[in-house]
Amino acid sequence: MLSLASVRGRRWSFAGSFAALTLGVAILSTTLLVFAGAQPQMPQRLSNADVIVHGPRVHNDFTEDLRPWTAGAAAVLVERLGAVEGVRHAVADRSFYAQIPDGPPEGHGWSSTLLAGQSLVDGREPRGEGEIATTGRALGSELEMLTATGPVRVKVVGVVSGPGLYVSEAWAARLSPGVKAIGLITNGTIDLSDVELDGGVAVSGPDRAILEPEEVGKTRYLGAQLLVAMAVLGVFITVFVVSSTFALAASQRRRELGLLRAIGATGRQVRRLILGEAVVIGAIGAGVGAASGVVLAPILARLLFVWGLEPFPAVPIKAWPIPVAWLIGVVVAVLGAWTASRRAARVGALEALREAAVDRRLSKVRMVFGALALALGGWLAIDTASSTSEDRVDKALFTACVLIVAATLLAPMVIRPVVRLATSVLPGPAGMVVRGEMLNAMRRSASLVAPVIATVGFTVMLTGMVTTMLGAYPAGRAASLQGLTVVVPQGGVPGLSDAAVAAAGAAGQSYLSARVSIGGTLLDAAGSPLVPEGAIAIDGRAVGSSVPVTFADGETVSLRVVGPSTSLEDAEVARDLVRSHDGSALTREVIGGVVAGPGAKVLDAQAYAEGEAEEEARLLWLFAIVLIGLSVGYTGLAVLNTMGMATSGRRRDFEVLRTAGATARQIFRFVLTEAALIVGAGALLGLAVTVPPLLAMARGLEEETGLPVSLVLHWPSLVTVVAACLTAALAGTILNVSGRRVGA
Amino acid sequence: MLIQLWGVKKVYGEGGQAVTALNDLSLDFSPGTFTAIMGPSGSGKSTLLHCAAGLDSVTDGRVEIAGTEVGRLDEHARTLLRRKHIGFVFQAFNLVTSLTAAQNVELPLRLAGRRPPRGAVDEALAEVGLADRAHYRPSELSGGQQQRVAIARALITKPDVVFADEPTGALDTNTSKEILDLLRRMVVHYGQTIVAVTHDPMVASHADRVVFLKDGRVVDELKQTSPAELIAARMARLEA
Repeated sequence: MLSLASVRGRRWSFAGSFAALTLGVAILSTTLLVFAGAQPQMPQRLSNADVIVHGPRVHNDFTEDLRPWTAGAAAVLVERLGAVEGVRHAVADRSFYAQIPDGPPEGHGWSSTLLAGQSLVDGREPRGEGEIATTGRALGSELEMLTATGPVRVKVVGVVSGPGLYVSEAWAARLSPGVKAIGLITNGTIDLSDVELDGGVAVSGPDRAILEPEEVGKTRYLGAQLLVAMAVLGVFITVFVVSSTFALAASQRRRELGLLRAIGATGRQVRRLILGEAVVIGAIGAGVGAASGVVLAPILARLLFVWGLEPFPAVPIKAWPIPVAWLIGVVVAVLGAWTASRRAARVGALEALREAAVDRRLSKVRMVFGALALALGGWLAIDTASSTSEDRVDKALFTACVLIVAATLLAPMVIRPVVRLATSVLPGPAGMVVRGEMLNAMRRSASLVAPVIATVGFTVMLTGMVTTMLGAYPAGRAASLQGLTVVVPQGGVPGLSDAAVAAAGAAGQSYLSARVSIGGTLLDAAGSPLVPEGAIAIDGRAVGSSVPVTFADGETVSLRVVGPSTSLEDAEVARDLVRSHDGSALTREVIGGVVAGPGAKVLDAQAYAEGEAEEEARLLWLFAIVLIGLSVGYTGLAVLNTMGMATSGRRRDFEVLRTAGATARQIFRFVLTEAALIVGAGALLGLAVTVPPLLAMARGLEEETGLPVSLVLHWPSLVTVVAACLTAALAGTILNVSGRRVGA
Repeated sequence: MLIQLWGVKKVYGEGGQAVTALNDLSLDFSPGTFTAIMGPSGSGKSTLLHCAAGLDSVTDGRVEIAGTEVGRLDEHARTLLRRKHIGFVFQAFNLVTSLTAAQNVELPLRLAGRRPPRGAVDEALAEVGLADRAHYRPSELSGGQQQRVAIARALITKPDVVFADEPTGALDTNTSKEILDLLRRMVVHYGQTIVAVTHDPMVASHADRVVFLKDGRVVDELKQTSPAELIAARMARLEA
């Protein structure tokens, strides 16, 4: 009864917690919905296959792939599957690198059209080498098609009803002898339980998503990283904002809590009251937030697609994220109110009889936890600096969260000197009054500073990280090239063909990239001209022992271990060996190449390094902007709200000041000075906790690149954010001093 | 005796800054009486109320409420003891602003985990003349009406003693008189024990007994209902 009535009766003071929760849970629900909806999908081009039998899975720590069957094994299996009752067609699906201008980098055998449900619209099916069927090209036109060995002149002999590049089955079998999947078109359900699948696995329905191309999965992985960062940030800021607003609300209610104690409420009952309020707020606020995710998720999914972070423009909406987000919201509300409730339970009955509480001191526990958080944050910062570039963003974000908590807990130590210094130079009574107000209500001042610290901290951390990293990487990369030029593929082309490598010049260094497997383990291998035929350089195997290596054509070759891998890849084998077993293997770049062959371009060291960093830069900035937008929008709201709450909770004080002879204008000046001091102290703290870890990161980068790296702060964003905080603080104050809001 | 204090001493602060608020004070309150405690500012009358009501601990001496020694109890047990035996009426801010008058009245019972007996809340409100205001919130009630709600709330648990701290301090003369008549009626009709701390002789003139404090000690006492002028004269002598 009391919790509910209390929330109803004090709705203005709860509005902030409510808004924070609604917003936080909306973010959580939206990201969860997109995350849940963005699951692997079966490629469109296999949609007509009712059942797919794919090769055994092989995987490494990051990804998984399918081990191909050899051409011979595939032929046997296709025949066996074709004889199963109910199977109309059994088709070996071959994929290989083949690219016509402006086309996707993938070609297939003609029979794959059956699996795509495509038919011939015009012309005939391709028969010999040099013939293709595709869509959107005039029948009879001649084109240059890139393959892994080099460009080939081809003629369009057939036009098909959907997207795709098809060659004759015989040519496809030469380009890609190995088969990873066999598609079955059936009459109704079929029984494969008695069929020997040669290690393969039969899948149907949504399970066919395992055949999704890896590139699509990579895009989704990038998107998932942003989604995770958004969700983590959302939850963190929600706990942060809810706990500081609850703390403020509880400290403003000391008298009422004291009254409750005097008339017989036990400490536990007071605690339950506060937590009950949190549950009420949580249930309603999180409900609104979770439901709004349904509207927001399609928008976010669309945005991620536009930014290149999701493979598809729309995601299906699943039901489970909504109750999950709601539940997390309620838990977050209760967690946020936890400390406030403990403190409220300690309010004594005598508080009801005392005048406005003076709390100058904050507990030692707070200081201890602050120091612990600071230490943890420092350690995390160093860890961030030495981690790999892929998870540096998420780690840095986590570091920022911990340091912001530290700064918030330790805020009073900074507020005190800042207020003393600032008020000592203020003319007139403002200095005296503001100093008294802020120092004697330290907990209130600390609650007000908290969201400013978070806003400024996140901004400085994220932008500083991006600018510093983007300055350091290209410089390091360019320096390591020592003035050499590099031959790289042109836009849209995934890699260099043998012809382009040969054209680049004899001095160039390069290797073929290939996927191989040993048993169930997937390996990224480099086909290097320096490794002799029959040898493999690989980590963790005894020199002189033999390992069975399976290539893209499904053939397994026994190779002798000559030592550990000297490249970034897991293993090195002879280049010619890769080529003879993998018709799709491409070369990423030729270091020291000087001539641009087909589908290639030459870059100098600087342009090459910048180009390498370009995509990373785009993603980093994108991540930073989305996350800063999220945190600034959110904490800005919190600043507005806490300032508003604090001001409206002090009407009586203002009345006293007025009766003591302060003019309305003077009171206005007092509160504006306070607002400015709060923002100033918060900005200082936000800077203070983020600069040291950024410096640590810069040192880490120095070690990595061997070049001096200077910390680059992004001043425009810092100035903008501080101005935004100031505006929000002033707006919250002015709205409430002028008395438009009542209650609280 | 419902409440007894023996040799109570209360010291705030330590060392050179220590202030002795109560100094070897002994007092008791018998059932069905209205006692006023008077004294100049700083005489220790508020401290006396806090200690006698179990809101605060004593530095030395004994306080017994309904036969239980308060000094031995922790804060939780003191809360339970207060809840059972004592009602409060404060000078102001007596009510939980988010609750209606009726909800405020039933609050102590709810806090004790009891359901108010049927009609009890209405009766209590009718007793203080607010039967028609049951569903008003404190902000919709006048100062006098708020004090009446506070009195109804203090009485709903049928406490042994109601402690009142300047119960009319925030009210005008006429309203004060109404509130005091109400308190008086509770003593006469229901045998309620009331202890009021006040500096107002008018309040004290409604009491059966007036205890005067100075420097933390009982320095004077009027053992029967006395006119306000007499009380004011005694006060003036104390302050001189």
